[in-house]
Amino acid sequence: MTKLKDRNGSKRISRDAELYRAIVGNTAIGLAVLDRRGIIVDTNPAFCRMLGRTEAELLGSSVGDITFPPDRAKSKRSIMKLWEKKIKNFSMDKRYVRKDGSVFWGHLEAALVENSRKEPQYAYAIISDIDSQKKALENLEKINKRYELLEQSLRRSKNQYRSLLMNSPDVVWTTDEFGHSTFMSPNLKRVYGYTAKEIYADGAKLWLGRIHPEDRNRVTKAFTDLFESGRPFDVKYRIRRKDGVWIWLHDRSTKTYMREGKRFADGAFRDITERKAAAEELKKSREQIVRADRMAALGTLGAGAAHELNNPLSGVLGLTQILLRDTPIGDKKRPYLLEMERELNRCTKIVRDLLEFSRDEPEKSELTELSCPEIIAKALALIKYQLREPGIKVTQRYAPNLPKVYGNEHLLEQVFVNILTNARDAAGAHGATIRIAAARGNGDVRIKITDAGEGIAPEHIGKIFDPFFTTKAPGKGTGLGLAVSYKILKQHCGRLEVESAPGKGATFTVVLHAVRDAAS
Amino acid sequence: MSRTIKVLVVDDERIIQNYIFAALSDPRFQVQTVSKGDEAVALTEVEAFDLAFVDIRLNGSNGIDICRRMKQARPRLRVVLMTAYESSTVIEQAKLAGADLVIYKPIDLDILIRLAEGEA
Repeated sequence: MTKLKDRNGSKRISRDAELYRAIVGNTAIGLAVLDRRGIIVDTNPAFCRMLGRTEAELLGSSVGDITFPPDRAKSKRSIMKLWEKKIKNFSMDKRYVRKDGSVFWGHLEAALVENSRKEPQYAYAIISDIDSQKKALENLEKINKRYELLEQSLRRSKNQYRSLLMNSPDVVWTTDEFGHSTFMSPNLKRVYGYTAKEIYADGAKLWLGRIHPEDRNRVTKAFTDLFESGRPFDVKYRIRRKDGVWIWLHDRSTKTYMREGKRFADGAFRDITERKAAAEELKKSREQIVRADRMAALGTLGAGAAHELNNPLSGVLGLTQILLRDTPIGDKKRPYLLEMERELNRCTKIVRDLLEFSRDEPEKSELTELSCPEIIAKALALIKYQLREPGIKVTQRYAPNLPKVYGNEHLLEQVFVNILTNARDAAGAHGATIRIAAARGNGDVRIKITDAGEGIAPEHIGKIFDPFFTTKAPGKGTGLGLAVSYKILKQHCGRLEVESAPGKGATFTVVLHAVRDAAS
Repeated sequence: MSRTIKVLVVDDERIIQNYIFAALSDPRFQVQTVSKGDEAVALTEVEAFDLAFVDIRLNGSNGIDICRRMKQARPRLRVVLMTAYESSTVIEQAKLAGADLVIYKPIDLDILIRLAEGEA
């Protein structure tokens, strides 16, 4: 410690100087006294400790030497202002460089020492080591910054996750073993109509409760299997959307896990209604091709057999009629002959149907413009006794301006006779009604014939157009009526469709091309 | 008393021949049966038949041709062509060949007799 010049040399000053020495020597606050050039002219042990330098090393060195280079400029600027008396004092945080090159943060308060003439003699600074505080603050800031970044990326991934879930065709779900959902991705509303909130409130009911009754047991079993034996849940089922429309879902989940003492499963479902419909369509058209092939083969076979059978049958029938003619009424043989005649007629009817069935395209010359109500009236006239006897009523409803159709009158008449005969046989109960309705379709005419009978069993529906398929009692039907009708309509580039459910009757729809300019 | 009606049956199926023969076993009719078309044409040339039942599908010949040749030989002969089932084109051809009628087998006994009597 150098001796400050003692201009007055008085005793009081000497005592003050002693006091000053004692204070600055023992305090933990650093002290530096600088001359105008910024050279350290006095310091104290605290500042030496902070900087890791001896007093000798510090004295005479410039303040710039111990200032961390990036902070030198601002430090110098402030001291200049002080010397110029622009400011009386200042405080700042700056970094100092220790002897070993390490850096620490210090807080300094600086002011001038003036002589009696108010001329600045020295500048002094008291410095405290705020490195640990500063570091703590810096750390805090760093942590804050990192946290902010984390939050940002979290928000970003949350948005990404959300849009992924929204745009995905799959609805992702989490549910417990009772079917209560704890999570449903928001695209649920688009697929199913209900919001996630509604599902959370009443999930089991809004899920299992809306599954098609025919599919419910299957789904419940698969769901139980998932939780009880870990078998992957992978089912396709029908479910009724909020708006009442039935859709097909493909629902999957592979395993379950424990969370907070409860068992959960994550899964996803997807609306496969359209895919299902397309597959159904494909299956149907495949079946149609197979059926057409089968029918063509049967037709060829049938025609061959029919031609071979027709002559012997005709001959035997004729001879039977001769025997009948020659057998007097009352003769014991008559009933047998009558039965032979009846059965032979039945055989020849089958042969005729078979020949009709195997018939090639109708010739163009046979095609004319026909009115559907007229053909139907003729068909009804042909079977009116068969309808009158069991007391069956027929209602007819035709759209006004029904277009005419182009076809073979005889063949189309046969189609309606066949369908109406079936409807009569199906109607069963006395006084039943057969409804006939015709309307204009898109470029075609659709004639619906509906009976209120027992309907067609689902396992039969695929076979009813096959030749020789019949559910009628032996002797009541040849099993060729619908096969022939189907074929005739196909030759007319039309269609024969059927809709039926057990107990709900059946509707056969004949679709025929409309003659184009045909409002007459 | 009217004269006997002469009927010729041309069919290669024995049972059809037998049926028509039995159906018309009546003094009013005189029935002759043959199996071959050529034989039928030859017979027509020498015998004044009133009516011929001819099957459209004959073994070795076509009933429609036979019909045409019989008609050439004897224009006043009534020819009934018999068939199990034919398309309208064939029926058209039969008419062009001069057939008076095309009828489907089986032929009902009453109809057969009325045809033979010339009423149908």
